[in-house]
Formats: sequence, C-alpha cells, structure tokens
Amino acid sequence: MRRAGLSFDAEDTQRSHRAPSASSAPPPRALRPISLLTLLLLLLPAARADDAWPLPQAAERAFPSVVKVYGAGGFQGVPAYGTGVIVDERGFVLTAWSIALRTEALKVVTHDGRRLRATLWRSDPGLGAALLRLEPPQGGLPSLQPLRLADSTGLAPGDAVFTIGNPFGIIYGDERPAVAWGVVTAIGSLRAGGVDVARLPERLERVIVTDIPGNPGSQGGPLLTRDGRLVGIVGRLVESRATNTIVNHALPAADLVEFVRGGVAAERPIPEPPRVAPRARAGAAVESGLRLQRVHLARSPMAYVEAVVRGSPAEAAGVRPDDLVFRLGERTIRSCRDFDEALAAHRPGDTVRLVLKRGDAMREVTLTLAAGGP
Amino acid sequence: MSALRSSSGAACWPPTAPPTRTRWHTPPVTRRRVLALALLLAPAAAFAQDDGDEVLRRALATEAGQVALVARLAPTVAAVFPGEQPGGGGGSGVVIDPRGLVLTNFHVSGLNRVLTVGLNDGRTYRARLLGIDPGGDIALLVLTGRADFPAVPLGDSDAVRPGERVFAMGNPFLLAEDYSPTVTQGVVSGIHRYRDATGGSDLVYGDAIQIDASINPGNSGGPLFDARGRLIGINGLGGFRPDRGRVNVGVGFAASINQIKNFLLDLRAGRQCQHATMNATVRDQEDEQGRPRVVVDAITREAKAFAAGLRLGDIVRRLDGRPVGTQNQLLTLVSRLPAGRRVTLSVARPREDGQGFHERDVTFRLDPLWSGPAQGEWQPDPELLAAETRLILEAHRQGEWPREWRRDESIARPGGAVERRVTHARGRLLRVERGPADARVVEVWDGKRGFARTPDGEGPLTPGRRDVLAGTAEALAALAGDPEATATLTFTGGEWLDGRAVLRLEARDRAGRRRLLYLDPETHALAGLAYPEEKGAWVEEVHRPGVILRLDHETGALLEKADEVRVEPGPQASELFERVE
Amino acid sequence: MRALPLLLLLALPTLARADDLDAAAVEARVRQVARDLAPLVVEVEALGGLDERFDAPETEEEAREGILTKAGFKQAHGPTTGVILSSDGLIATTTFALHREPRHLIVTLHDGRSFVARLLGRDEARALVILKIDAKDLPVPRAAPPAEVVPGRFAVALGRGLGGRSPGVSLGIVSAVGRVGGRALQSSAAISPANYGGPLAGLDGSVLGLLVPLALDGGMASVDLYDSGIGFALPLADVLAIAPRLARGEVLRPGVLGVSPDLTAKDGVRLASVAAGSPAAAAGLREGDLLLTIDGEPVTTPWELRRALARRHAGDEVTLEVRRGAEARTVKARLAAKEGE
Repeated sequence: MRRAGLSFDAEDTQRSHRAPSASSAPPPRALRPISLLTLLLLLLPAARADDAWPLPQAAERAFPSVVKVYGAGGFQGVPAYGTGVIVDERGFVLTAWSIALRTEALKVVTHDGRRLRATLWRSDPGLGAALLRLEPPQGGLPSLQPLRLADSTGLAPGDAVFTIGNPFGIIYGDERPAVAWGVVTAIGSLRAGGVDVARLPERLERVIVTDIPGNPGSQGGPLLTRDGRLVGIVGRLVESRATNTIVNHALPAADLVEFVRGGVAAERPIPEPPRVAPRARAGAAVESGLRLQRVHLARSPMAYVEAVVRGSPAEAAGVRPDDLVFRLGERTIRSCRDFDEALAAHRPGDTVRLVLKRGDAMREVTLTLAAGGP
Repeated sequence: MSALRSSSGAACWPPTAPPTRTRWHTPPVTRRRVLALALLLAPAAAFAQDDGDEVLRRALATEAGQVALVARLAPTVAAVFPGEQPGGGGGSGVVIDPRGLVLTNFHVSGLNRVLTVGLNDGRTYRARLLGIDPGGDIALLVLTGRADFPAVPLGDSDAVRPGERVFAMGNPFLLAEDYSPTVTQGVVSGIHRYRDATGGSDLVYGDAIQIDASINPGNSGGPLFDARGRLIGINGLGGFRPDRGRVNVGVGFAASINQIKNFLLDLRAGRQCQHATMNATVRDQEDEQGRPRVVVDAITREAKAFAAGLRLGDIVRRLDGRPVGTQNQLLTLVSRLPAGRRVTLSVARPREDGQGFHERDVTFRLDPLWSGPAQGEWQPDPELLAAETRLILEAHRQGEWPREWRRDESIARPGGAVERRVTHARGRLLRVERGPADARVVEVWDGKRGFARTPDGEGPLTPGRRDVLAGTAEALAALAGDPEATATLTFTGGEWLDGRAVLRLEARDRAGRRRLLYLDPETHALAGLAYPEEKGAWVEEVHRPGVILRLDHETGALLEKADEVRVEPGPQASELFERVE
Repeated sequence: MRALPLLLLLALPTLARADDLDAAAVEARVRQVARDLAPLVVEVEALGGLDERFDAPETEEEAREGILTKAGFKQAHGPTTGVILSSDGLIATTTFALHREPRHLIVTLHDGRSFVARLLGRDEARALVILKIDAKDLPVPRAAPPAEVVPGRFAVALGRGLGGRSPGVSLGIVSAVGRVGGRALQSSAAISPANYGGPLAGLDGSVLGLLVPLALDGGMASVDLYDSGIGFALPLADVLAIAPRLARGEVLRPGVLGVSPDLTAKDGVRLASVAAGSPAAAAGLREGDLLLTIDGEPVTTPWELRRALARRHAGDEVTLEVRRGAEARTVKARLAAKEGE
C-alpha cells in the first residue's frame, strides 16, 4: 500500500452560493385520494423482475472478460498480482497502472485458466491506467470476450456499483474472481500531498470514490453498474491524509476511452509519458502582497497575516494584519505551508478567493495575483 | 419534536412537544387521512402519485421485506461464550433445531464442555458441547432451558451464485450487551473457495463462501443467510490486513452449509469429526494450450487411493463428476468430505507411447486427516450420546414405513441372480436366501437355532454362517427393541449411503460381533446394513424401497449377487419358522 | 415531507421479499436522500491546537514538543462533519473535531458560507458536541421516530470529511439498535473520519442518527475501524433531547454507580460486588442485594441496569429500590464520574 498522504478535493471547484432556502428539501405535497384499484394493484409483488437484484446475472456476464494479471513485485508493499479487463478481442487488457507491470515476465490468466504472456503496451501513471497486449501463443489467441467501456458521466453519489477482482490473490487458474458491491461515495480528484510522492502522480484529476474496500489485488478490476456496464477501473490503493483511510476509488471509463483507443490503434508499445514533477507549475512566482507570521513554535503554524504590502493585491482586497487565512480558492489552509503550496499552483493574473477569519467573523475577499519577484 | 421541521424551515428549537407516534413529522393537514388509509389498506400505497412518490413507495416496500426478514432471523442468532457465564471471549452461533442444536465455530467453543449462549430474548441459556469438527472449524452445541427454540432451516450452499445478496449475523466485538445480533449485508464474492492457513491463523477453510458483508472478530460461528433467510454458511474467517488492525476489509469466509451437512450427523453423535485426505499431493500444471490441469506428484503406498490404482503422474480430471482444473478445486472438493467417504476420481494417464491418454475411474474411501485434539483426547459426553441414541431409537420404533421389499428384476443379473430374504419380526428371526435360483440356499436363524436348506438337502448352519446370521439378527433385534436382545446400540454419526446421508448406529452383541445399521435421518426407517462375511470382508446392504443392493463396503462396487430382502410381519415369520422346522 | 409508518408496512403480508430487492428504487432513493439532505450537512474545520502524529514520537525531541501521541490510535487531518439542529445555528458534531484542542472552529455550510463556531457543551459519554454559529433560516432535519429505527433498514451515511462540494455517501443497513449501553444504533455503512458528525439517513429522508466515533467500549474510536462495517450513530431523537443541556454549556460525563451485577443470576439484577467508596456503597448497597428499580423503572437484567445508567450522567441522583433477604428498602445515590475523568 502507498502511504503517500493524499488529500481529496472536489471535482467542481466552484462552491454553490445559492441561498440556503433554494437548496433545502422540497415542501410537502398534498395527498390525493387513492383508488381501491390502485391499492389492489400495489398488493401484487412489489418488485418487477427487471428490478430484482441484478448482480448475479451482471457478474455472470462480466466474468469471461475479467483476467488475473501477474507482474513483478511483492516489494515495497506493491502486490505482484492484480486484475484486468479485456477491452478488445484483439488481446488488449485494461488495468491499473503499477510499477509491478514493468517486467518482461508479465502474465495474464484468462477466465478459463489459460496463462498467456503479455506486454505492457501503453501506460500512464498520471491517468493511473495501463493497457496490456496479450501475446498470441502457438495456434493464436483464444477467443476473447471483451467488455466495452460505458458512459460513466451520469454516475452520481449513491449509485449502486460493484467490482470484480482478486483481493489478496486468493484465487488463480480458472477460479472466478471476487465480487464486491457498494455505492458511489463521491466523484472528485485525488491530490498528492505529504512526503512520499515518489510513486504517485501529483494528481488523479477525476476518480470515482466508492465505499467498496480495496485490497491488494483488487486494482485493475472492473467497476460496473448494477446492470453490468463498465464504468471504471479500480485504482491502486491510496491513503487519504485527510481521513487517514484508504480512498477506495476507480478511474472513470470516460477518461479511459481515448487511452484505450490510442493504444489499440498503435503499431507498437507506446512509451510512458514523462512524469510531471510535483510543483513544476510553481515556476512562475506570484505575489499576493500578503506576509504571514512564520513563527516556529509549532512545526507548521497557522496562516496568520503579519503584514500586508502597501499597494499589493492583498491590500486592494482588504486583507488586514492578524487575519487568519482559512481558504485559498477551494483549499483549506491549515498552515503557512498549505498557503505557499496553494499560492504556487496559481499564475500571475489569476483571481483567487480568500476566506479570512477576522475576530469572530468570517469574511471573503477576492484578489488578483501579481507577478512575483525572483 | 415534530415541530422541528415546520414547512417553512423556521426556528423551532428546542423541541416543545413530547414525541408521540402519530404526530411524528406528518403534516397536520394530511395526518388523519394518512392514518385512515394506512390502517385500512396498504399504507405503502398512500403516496403513490408521481414518479418520486412511486419510487419512495417501492423503496420502502422492498426495505420492509428486508426488515421483516431480519426480524424473523434475529431470534435464531446466538451469542456464544465458552464457560459458565457471558463475558471474556466469545463468538456467535445459530440455532438449527428447535430442541436447541446450535452451530458455531470450533475456534469459538474450543473444548469447553459447558458454554453460555445468549439469544435476542435477552436471556442466557446453558449449553453443552455435543460434537466438534476441528478440521472444518465447526462445533455443535445443545441448549437447555427451553423446549422449543426458534430455529432456521439449512439451505443449499451449492445453489449460491456470486453476486447474490447475503446477510451475516452475529456478535462482532461482543457488542451485544442484550444479545441482540448485529446484521450486515453484502454479496457473495465467490463460491467453493479454498483458503489455506495464512496470516497467523491456522484455520484452513475448504469449500468456503467468500463474502463482502463485513464480518469481524466475534462474528465467528454466526450464520450467513441468503436473501430468503436460508442458512448457507457459518462465518468464520475474516480477511484482515496488518496495517488496518483486526477489522473487516470486505473479504470474509463462511464454511458452506453443504460441507457442514456432511459432518452434521457425526457432530450429533458427539464425535471429533475427521476430514479427509487422498494421501497424495498434486501440483498445478499447464497443458499444451496453456490450460490448467492437476497432476499427482506424490502418493504414499499406504493410501487407499494407491490401493485403488491412483499413480504418480495421473492427471485428475474430475472428482465424483465435478471438474478439477486447479489444486484449489481438488482441495476444495476433498476438504468438504469426511474421512471414509467413497469417491471416484476420473484420471487420465499418459500412454506409454506418448500418444494420448488412458482415461479411467478410481474409486476408494478417503483416508483420515486428523486435526484438533490428539486421537483419544476427545470423547463424546456419554450422557449426551445416550440421549441422542435414545431419540433415534424411539423415532425408529414409532416410525411407519414399508416393511416389504419386492424383488427388482432389473438388478438381478443373469446367472448371478440371488434371492435373499431377511425376516426380522421383532428382529430375532432371520431368514436368508442366497445363491442362484437353481442352487438356492435358504438359511434360518431364530436366535438360538438355525439351519440351512440347499438343493442337496437340509443341515445345520456352518459355524461361520451361523456367526454371520446371529450377529445381524442380534443387531436387528436390538434395533426393534426386543427386550431379550443382547446387542447394544450406539449412535456413531453419519454415513453416505446410496447418495445421501444416513444415521449410523453401531451394534455390538454379547459375543463381540459388530454390525452397522443405517437409518434414514428423516423417517428413521432402516436404510441399510453393514456386516462382515465369513472371510471378514465387509458387505454393505442398501435398502431401497422394494430393493436391496449388496455392495463391497470398501469400493462400493455392486457385488455380483444382487439380493432381495423382505422384512415380514411377526405372525407370518413365526409360521415360516414353524414350517421350516 | 412524507414519512411512511414503517411499522404499518411491516404488517403487510410478506409481499416484498429480500431476494427480489428493488435495486432501482433503492438506488434512486439513496441518490435523492443524498441530494435532499446535503444542506443539513456542514463541514467543521478545526484549526490550530496540538500537532499530532499517528504513532509514538520518533525522537525524544518530538516527545518534549508535546506532540499528541497515542500509539496505534490513528486520527485524521481533514475536516469533520456536523449536522444543523436548529434554524438559528445550533450544530451537532462530535468530539472528534476537538481532540486536538483546536483554537478555531469554522463551520462551512453547503452553500459555501463559512462561520466562526462557538463550542457550547459536550456529552463525553456520547462523543457529542454542540456548536453555535450566527446564522439564520437554516434547514433542520426530520428525526426518524425511534420505534421505526429497526435492524434491516437501509442507512445512508453522509459526510464532508473527504472535502468536495457534495457530501460523500456510503450505504449500509441498520445492524442493531441499543448499542453502547443503549446510547447508539449500529450501522454497516462505512463510517470513518470521512463522515463522523454527519447524518445517518433512512431511504425516506428522515435522519436516523448522528454518526459518532464511539469505540466498541464507549470510548473514542480510532480510525482503524473505518471500513469494518461497524459504526455507531446517536439516535437523532436522543441528540435533540440532550442538546438543550449542552446548549446551556454543560459538560456531561458518564455516571458510575459502582455495582457489578451477577451475570448468571436468574432472579433479576443481583449485585455480585459493590465497589468501595462508590455511590452505591455510600447508599448502603451490599453484595447479594437484589436491585429492583431505578427511579421507579424496573430493572430485571444486567442489560437493563446498564441501559438505565447509560441514560444518566455523573451528578444525577437516582432512587434505587433493593431487596435484601425479605427486606425491601429504597435508597438514593448520586452518580459519580468515571475515574480518570
């Protein structure tokens, strides 16, 4: 498991500013009399056949497309085994990106227990996905049953979903991987933080968070709606620093379509894109005109304003000494370091929202960042 | 408190009115109508107007089904504490019989002869340990203190499908101060799982059901129900991760109820159940197409499988008709069976010329795989065992079942057809007809005297035949309740006979002769016998309605002679004896 | 809002079976409930206060710095959650928000407005905290009637611990009621720092309870339980009943009587022991006494005794009716605070 300390923030960075009444629950409705006939009809069995619990059938349909993936590893907590989904009958398997896939000895076991060699065909740590290509054995590839990526854009928190995978590597050969179900918890992005980002992309822009516990070996398996549509690929284990829990998540199918299409169309393996170094975007210095108290009593002091530079954006916005910076943009500022990081993500000319605590009141200001000195 | 949410959302706090059932959150204007409809007709219908209301109605109706199911099952779930009082460690259990039989895990009960069981009526009951299955991690308790306990029927775990909804119930972390169980729901993640001992646990689970419903320490021994409330397994093994403490991570295992059924009668008989081994090891291999297969890579000369013809290098294709592709699958199939169960392995042996395979079937009884307390350390509680035996005998003697078997020509082989009549009115009188029709031998034994009539004439029974007949007659007499019978009967567990589980009673008469009597577990009618022939080889008789089959006790092979038995009512039997005398 | 009398639904013939769960309807309601209740669910940020680490300090220097440590006790760095209780800004959250003794508590509503929150009072036995913000016209929850909160109902847990605009959703069922001395209901929904302080809602949009980090023994939970499928919530009706005391600034602590019942006694609550110096000893109770009532309410099992005491707090006076031999007597005792508190 990676203990890189991720934090989670919203996909949509614009908080709603509607009046509270607009977002409260709808008013009560009046009741209309109900006919006896309606009532009798309602006494018929409550659920129609197509509403009945659909997972067994959906899982049955998906099983032939789910494969076991074996790479190199077992070191640094990275499991050597995982799960994948056949997305193209010409032998392409979609799975979660892992360092364990970088091996000549990559193997894939199909649902009927056939063990096939595979090549890492395309990978993108920033996306979190990898595409494998099965090497045809003597006599050619067996007939494969792909599962197509479905439209994931309509998913919302509360939607019932399930995964198929091989947690803890319990099964092998032609045994069927494990089904687990839950609901979509949130749609959002994962942002790297903390100390150990070496093995993580800086940010996974969009993930489907679920309440299905992820375990070693689950990664790369399909995330399916209750009727069996492939809406995502289970991501690798990441832990949230905000909640100190594992963020069980999947990569949305919508973001994988191009990745798969490009990979399938390619003549030869596509080299991995270079890593975006964390804070690469911090190159262009910005100036807010706001100076924080950097006392070192605690390891990471809160972002109190010590001074405001005359004529600066901060002064224009009305920031005052002794204000406590609570938010910059959407990011909660718990420390001076948070402030520096949040500011570094911006460019001169950006307009940012600051939420300040002044005395016993909160106030919100907007300021337009200037170019900073060297 | 209903004022908390007025329609305008205005401040209505703190609450002013005490809560009453009918006033809760129903807007005053409509309250009366709702109640009227609700009480008169189906309350769920009251709001079926637009789509949103229809969805709400459906959701609440389906939820009500789930609530009703949980309410029905909760009284059968037990909090199990080893020892004389609740507290300390413990686990869960489930009542499977109204007279208070409780299934739990062996790792919960241990070898504690006395346990305390809490039910959701808030009461505790004294329980005694009846039988143990250390290899399957199962124990059977019997409760006292009530005549009719709420119990659940056993389901069929082989009919379970991945993705199916399940409910796990039990007492995780011993949270239930009032013994009301915790219920969690999830789905079946996988079936027929083989889970080897890992992570500091020495528990091996064969033929387990993998679930994502959360189970935690304390859930052990508790029931896994399908969505219809049928018992499909006993939760016993959690997947835990060291970095997350000993709590659920969505990977749990339950011993399948079908495996438990294979041992249930042994448990009732107070035994330490023995799981099975082939005394051979196998390894996973790939065939030329990269498909998995299983090959025997070691076998001991002492193995019954070896005696039956299994050899190194044999490829195991099927066990009792079930396909075997991986070692896990074979282990799963074997681990759910008790020692002594006859199995048929379908194997392929590469031809010497390398062209293709010899396909053959090998049938043998599985060897025992001892686990748990050392042999002899566990003994059935004599009092409980006597009570179980008594229950079975009483049921048999009160039973109504056909006492006539007719000859079935279909199994009478030409030339080898033999008629065999066994008469045991009150058990004592035995008449046996053996041999082909043209060389019929009739033997009669009344407990003291006997004779044989052959085509050549009449004479006394040979001492060997006399012993064979006398032993069986004594056993049957004891079963029938003959006060003069010298054999004592003991319930010794279950046996697999003619494709089903039967009760096995062991009879030993004063002369030390041993017989096995098999009874149908439902009707308690005689379902078969086993006894030694003169030369010592054991014969197994299967009594089907109208038919008796004689099998080789070891291999189950149908003997050349297919016999018929008729059990006749008493008066007729005495007449018969008088006539032959 | 509509509330269906669930108990009446139960009276329906068993038309709805759990095996043909109407998954579409349940899913639609979970989505709807998450949307409808979002305005009730607020983010609570605790700023300043003690720094903390997950494990023991690595160096002596760290130990001297006063870093809050507790080996194996994981906490979290993100925001926690609260539920609006009154339209004028009373907010319920949990002691989880306070464990670092923060200098500032800031509540952010669903519409994005932030407020400085004042800490009014707390109930240590329930890990419940009441905050106040200066806001008006806030939406308030509809509490599920306690009698309708029964095992097997679906339970939707909402929280803001993950950040983001809409609360995170997890789904489970009501696993049991009357846990932790009768203080909490238990749910299998994933309950963790991602939603401590958030609501546990029914499919009908009523609030069953307030998610709390209660540990199994009634203390404060560690993060380790987070997807154990075991989580606790205070029945919202209880929260509303206790909130006025907390709003007046009270700090409530568990009350201790100082008796241990004999768990094997069949004739009622017989005292196996009476702790020396305890309120029970001061009231003259002795080992072997049969405890009949507390404040006139019969107690017949150890569980009923525990539940009766769990409803009371340190400092509360109780009237006990006991029988010793043939003699019945009535005594009064004032419950003490748990040692160490």
